[in-house]
Formats: sequence, C-alpha cells, structure tokens
Amino acid sequence: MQSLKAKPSPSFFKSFKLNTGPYLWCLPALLLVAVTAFYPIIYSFYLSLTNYRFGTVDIRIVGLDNYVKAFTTGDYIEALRITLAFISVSVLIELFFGLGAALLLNSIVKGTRIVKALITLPITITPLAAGLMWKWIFEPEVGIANYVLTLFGFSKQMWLGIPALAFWAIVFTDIWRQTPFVIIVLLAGLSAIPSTLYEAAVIDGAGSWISFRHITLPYLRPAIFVVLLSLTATAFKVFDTVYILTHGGPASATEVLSFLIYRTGFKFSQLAYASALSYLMLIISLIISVVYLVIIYPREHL
Amino acid sequence: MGQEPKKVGRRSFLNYAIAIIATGVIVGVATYFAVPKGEVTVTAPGTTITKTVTTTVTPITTSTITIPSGVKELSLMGISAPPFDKTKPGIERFKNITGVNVIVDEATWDAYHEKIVVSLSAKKGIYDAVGIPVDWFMEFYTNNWMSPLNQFMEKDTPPLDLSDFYPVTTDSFSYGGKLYGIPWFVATMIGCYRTDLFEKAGLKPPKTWDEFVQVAQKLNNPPEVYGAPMPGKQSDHLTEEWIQLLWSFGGEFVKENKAVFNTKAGLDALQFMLDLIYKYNVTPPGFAQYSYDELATLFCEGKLAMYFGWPYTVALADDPTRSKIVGKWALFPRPGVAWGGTWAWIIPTDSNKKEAAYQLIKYLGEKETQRELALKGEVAVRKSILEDPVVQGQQPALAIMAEALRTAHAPPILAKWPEVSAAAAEELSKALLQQKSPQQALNDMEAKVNAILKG
Repeated sequence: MQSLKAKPSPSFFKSFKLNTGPYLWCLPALLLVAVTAFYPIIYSFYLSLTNYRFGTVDIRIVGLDNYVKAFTTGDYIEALRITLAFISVSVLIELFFGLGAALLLNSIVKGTRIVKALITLPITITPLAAGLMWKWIFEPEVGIANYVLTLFGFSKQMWLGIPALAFWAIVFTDIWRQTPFVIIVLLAGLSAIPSTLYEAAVIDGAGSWISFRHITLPYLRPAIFVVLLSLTATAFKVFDTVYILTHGGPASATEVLSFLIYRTGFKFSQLAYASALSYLMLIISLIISVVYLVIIYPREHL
Repeated sequence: MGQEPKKVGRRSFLNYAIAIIATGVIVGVATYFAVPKGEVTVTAPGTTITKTVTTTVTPITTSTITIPSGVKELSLMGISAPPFDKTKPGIERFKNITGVNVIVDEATWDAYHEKIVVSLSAKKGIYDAVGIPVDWFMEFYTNNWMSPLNQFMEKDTPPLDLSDFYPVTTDSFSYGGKLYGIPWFVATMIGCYRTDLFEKAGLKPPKTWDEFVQVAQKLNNPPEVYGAPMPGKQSDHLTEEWIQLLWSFGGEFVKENKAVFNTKAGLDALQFMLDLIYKYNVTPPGFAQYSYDELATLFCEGKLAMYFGWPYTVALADDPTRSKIVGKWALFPRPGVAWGGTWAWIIPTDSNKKEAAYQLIKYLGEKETQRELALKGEVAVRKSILEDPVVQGQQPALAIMAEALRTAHAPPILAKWPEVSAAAAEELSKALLQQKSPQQALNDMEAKVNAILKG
C-alpha cells in the first residue's frame, strides 16, 4: 500500500474534470456579465470617489465627499422619503388587490382563461407607451379621468398639477401596471395547494377564514415573497412613469431616487455624484431585501 | 428536499450544447440583418430638390468647395426636428458636389444632449460636425469640445461673410474673440393667437404685457377657452418663461457668474405669472402640468386664445390631423423681450477631419441652404434671406419672426445651465403652487443658483 503517497489517483482527475465542465460552459455568460455589469459597477464605485463630470480633464479622488454631499443637501433625503413612501403605498395596495383578485379568480370555474388573458394586458404594454397613455388620461381639459369625474358630478382635478395628487397619480399608474403580475404569480401559488388540505379542514370544522389563515397563507408564502421582492424592486427603480408623467414635479413632489440620479448624471453631467447616489441606493435596496429575507422567506428554504 | 439532482447524460448534454450554440448563431445572424448597421444615411435625391428650389426663386451659385484630399466621409449629428429635416437636402447637395459621403446621425431632444455629451467625452472623433443650441455653448467651451473656426476661416477663399448673419446668432457662438459655430437657425419664442376669437371680439394681438392681460381677460371663457397660456410644469420651459418676463421688466439673470435676478424686476416677473393665474384667472387650471409642448396640444384643441411657443411647436397647429384650429390662427411677436435661442454647427475638437467638416458646415450656412430653410418656414440666420421680400412673400410668418429676432435676447450662457435651469424651475414651481411666497422663492433660487455657479 505504498501507492498512498504516490501521484493522485485517477479519480481525482476525473472529479476535477467533471467540475470544470460547468464552469467552462458558464464562462461566456459570466464574461458577458463581467463586461456589462461587474466592470461598470466597480468603475462607478471608483467614479463615486472622484470629482468627475462629463468632460473633466483632471480627475481627482475626493474621498467620500460625494456621499457626504448626498446627506447634507436636502434633495437626496427628500427623494429617498418620496421613494420609500411610494414603495410602501404601492406595494401594499398591489399585494392587497392582487391577493384578493387571485383568490377570487381561483374560486371561479368558468372563463378563467379569458379573465387571465385580459388582466395580463397591462404587462404587455411597453412602460413608455403606457406612460404616454396615462398622461393623456390625466390631462385636465380633454383627459378621460376628468371626463368620468364630471359625469358623476365631481369637479375637475389637476391630476399631475397638484403635488399630493401627482404622487397618487404615479402610485395609481404603478398599481395598474403591477397588480396583474401579482395576480398571475399568486394564482400559480394557489393552484399548487393540494385541495385535500381544504377538504380535511372542512371535515375538522374549520371556517373559510381559518383555512385561509392556516392553509392558504402558509402555502402562498414563497409566492408572496417572490411577489414582494419583485414589486419592491420595481417600485424602487420607478422611472419611466415619473419621467413621462411629471418629470419630478410639481414642486419636486414626485422626484424619486432614480429620477434624481438620472437628472444628476445625465442632465447635470455630474457623473461622480450620480454614482455615489446610485451606490447609496444600492445599499438601501440591499437592506430592504435582507429584511424581506429574514421576515418573510420560509426558514426551510434558506 | 432530499431529491437527487437529475444527472444529465453526456449525449443529452451535447444536444443541449448544440441547441444553445445553434440558437445563438440564429439570433446573432437575425439581429445582424434586422438592426440597421450604424448610422442611417439620408437617401433623398438631392438633384430633384435643387430643381424645385431653383424654379421658384432665383438660384444662388454655390461657392467653390475645396476638400482636403483623402477625406471620403464625414459624420454629422443633428436634432430630430423639422429644421434638420429641411437641412438634409442641403447635405445631399454637398455630397453630390464634393463626392464626400456624409453620414447623418440624429436624436430627439430628450436624448440629444446625453448622446452628444457621451460621444464627445469618449474623444473618439465620432462626429465631425454637431448642431447644438446656444444653451450648451458654455458647457462645451469649458470642456474644450469645440474647435475655434477662425483658423479655417482665415485660410478659406472666398471667406464666409459674417456680417450677413444676425448679430444675436454669431454673438451667441463667439467667445474671447473667436467664433465657435456657424449659425444654423434660430428658435425664437413666438406668439400665436386665434384669429376667429380676436375678430369676433374686435381685438388686435397685444403689443405690451398690459394689453396682453386685457385681451386675455376679454377672451377668457372657461371651460371652453382660456385667455393665456402658462407653462407651469416644473421644467426648463418654466425657467425660460420667467426669464423672458424678467428681461421684459428690465432685469438680468446672471452677470459675471453671479445671480442678479433677485430684484424688483425678478419679483415683478414672478408676481405677473401669479397674477395671471390667481388674480386675473386667465390661465388653464391645470397650468402646473403643462410645458410649452403640452400647451401646444391645448392650443390645437382650441382651448387657448393665445399661446407662446417655439417654431416647431407652433407648426403643429397647421396639421389637420392634430389640430382643430387649422386656418383660425396667426402669429404675433411675443410682448416684451423674447428668447432667441440660436442653433449652430460646431466642429468637435476630437474630429480628425476638421477642414473638410468646416467646408460642410460653411455650406450649410451659405445663402443657398439658408434660403431653402427659410422658404420651408424655418427662421434662417441671414438678414438678406429673412428680410427678402420674396421669402417673406412665400412665408409671411417669417416677417414676424424677423421682427421678434431684432429685439430677441440670447439666453444666459452658463456652463452649468441645465443645473441652474432645473434649480430655478423647482423654486418657480413652488411659488406658482403657493408653497412659498414669491420673495422667498427668489431668495432660495438666488442661493441655489449662486451655489451651483460657484461649485
């Protein structure tokens, strides 16, 4: 048995070979991601520590100045406040309506296909086109929203002209666009729950609330987690709606983070400052997703 | 979850790989053919267009164009808007005369600044000529993105006759005794009024702001029609509207890199806007969601008695598919001082075909091409063209444009104009929505603008 300390056994090579395969196959995709995502992410971190604007010749490292600036000028805090308000309001409403609609759709027997096809329509419309459509709907003089209001005897509203209303107009547009996605995902989750559980619950004398609370919700938890994470991510980076409907106005009431960053970087050419703002945004979104992971995601999946 | 992962056999693994590669190849080939490669080249037949021009007006002979040998191709960037569309025949003619291929790239206003700035920052010589508005002059100057044209003008025979250009246009693109751009066209703020409503009420278009208020009050008949426009949306247009009023009331915006607008004139200008909204009640109630663009639609819907806009927004009102007021409106010079935003062709410093590029942009500034622009309704930059009775006879609106151009002011030339404009718009928006007193808004605006100019 001297061969123990001799050259490695053939099985070692075999396992080595087996292991490189997947990596090799992943390599092209990884390279692509590295070039298009990792490099820009790292480079923008470097940028965030400099004084770079478009055209700057002498780029200097200024340390954390840009980050300090973000917290000392009111714009960023205000944009963060608006974004967080937007996320909490829109995500909660979308989840509430989405869950309700999914439960309803799950209980009907006939025509589900048509209803499903209809409710997915908003998802299929390009965000930009949808935004332009909503801009027309919210037009005070010739828009449909005010026309409907006047039909019921209400006075015309300046949907995008009053700070508080403009915020809700953006929320409403987001609800219109995101709720179908919630419905589809939750419906899939609902259909995966074995009906035997409900039957057993009925035999045990459980009411509909009890079976919802103890069967439906626990089983839906993974689906709800996916939905919440995705909704929050989408709401966090809301841009197109704001860009088209309000451009951050009126009185900066709808200036969300992504729009502030866009303006800072591409309108004002302050790429360094915009990079710093993006990094802060990244940190905040990381915190939110960790919170989600801890609170909602089922333990056994971790 | 003790399930064993399913093993992928060698054969099916190979199949997968082949399938993936095949899909990649198919998609690659498909996109290669589906996506137009690089820039779009204009294919309008130049010769026929020359003919239509020469039949209607006396032809202007083209000056001799000398292209340095070895230059086969130039690349030019313009804005996706009517003035550029009307310049394309001229570019075609240049191609025919010189045999140099001109690759034309364009972008809409929303993306225009970004696209150009990113290209110029790259310093790869992507463009040999770029059309820019005066608003960006200082930004481009500070970043050393524009070549001075004097070096080419001195060597050139026959030299370009600059005295024929309106002073506001060449002044806008001169700095330190050097010219950086050849004026292309001017975007002057212009007024539009509803001839039918004015006739019925026996009114004439207003010449002063006092008259403007009186006329607006008489014609105000909500919700059918509103007397006056108000671009109250938080956008560049809001800043532009207020600055024009500031000039009208005798004020200045920035002097020697310092804000000088927090004066009685500044306050009067802002108060005037507030009065139109809250005292005279002549603006549409949705003012805070309109820029000049949205107001143009409203004017086309017949909801406004008067409207101020740029030549390109004004043009919409004659389009029967979009306008309900075709034939029921006319132009008038904006009361007070109007914004005269010159556009010019510049040569980026990173271009390596500057001499040929100069010949191209010089040709675009020649009388022949300028005349063609004017005959198609654009505000040309040459006096001899814009004030030519033949041109004014074919385009009566240009007579009014020429009048506006004589008193127009060049916009503030600041390196950080986009930032300054946004800061001003935010404060103005708060004042118009009565979140702040006008004086408070001006104080805050002054602080912000000074901070931006200093930083």
